[in-house]
Amino acid sequence: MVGAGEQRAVSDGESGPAPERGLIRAGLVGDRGALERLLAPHKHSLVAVCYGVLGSAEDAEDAAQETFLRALRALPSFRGDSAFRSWLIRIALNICFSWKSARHPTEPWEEEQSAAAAGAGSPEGIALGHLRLMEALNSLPPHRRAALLLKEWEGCSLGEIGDVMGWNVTRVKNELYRARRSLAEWQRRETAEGENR
Amino acid sequence: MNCERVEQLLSEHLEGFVSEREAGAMAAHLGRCPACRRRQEEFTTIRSSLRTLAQQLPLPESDIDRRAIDCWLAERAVSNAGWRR
Repeated sequence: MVGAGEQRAVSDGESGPAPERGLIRAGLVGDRGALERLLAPHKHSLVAVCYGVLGSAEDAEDAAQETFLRALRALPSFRGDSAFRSWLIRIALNICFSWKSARHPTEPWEEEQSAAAAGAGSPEGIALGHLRLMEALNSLPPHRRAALLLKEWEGCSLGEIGDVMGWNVTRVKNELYRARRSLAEWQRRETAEGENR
Repeated sequence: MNCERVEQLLSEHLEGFVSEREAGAMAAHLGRCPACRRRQEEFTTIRSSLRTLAQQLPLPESDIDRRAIDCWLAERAVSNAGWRR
């Protein structure tokens, strides 16, 4: 339950430049609604980024839930030096990288499964294309992959990616370039293999 | 301007961070270099494929935020009860 003063803080916070601030204050005194409004907007992004790094929907969900829990535990120490979203993504990536290094790599895509796929434009063909793309992403170093996905999936600015990854903008540009170049090489091989099939 | 620099600029161009002068030099290079034109096409295709993939991720709608909140509030309740004892 939250007092009138806290309620006011929530509504003030929501219209201000840092809408999370009021929600955090209210959440810290146990306002469940404020916590839900604080976390819900980031749910899909976090699961998507975790999926991009871990390659499994189930693991991604677990990692995103663990992210929220760790963020809630650390909420009293959140100083707002970076955006709340960047802070959450940083926690999520730390979890994903540590899980990734502790577990076996994702099972490779079985060739037999590809035989079941029809033409490139069919639903099966599209699904297969997505799986192959995920596999290509999986071949990138985890930090580089994360940077690319933050850019292309989450629309993060170069500054935001730098903030999350602890890199300067020059390094962000360089990592994005290297990621794209690797995927371009992969695409080239895919095209050549497709022509030989 | 060599091919490697043009490739870097092609990537930066996707972020909209290429100066007019560099964009001019890049365009001139692309006009005479089929390999870099191919790379440009590949970068564009990759961006588009990644964005399509993002829209079609097999991610279930779940209540992970609520579950995390439940868990944290329960942890706090236990911790507060212990502290009061």
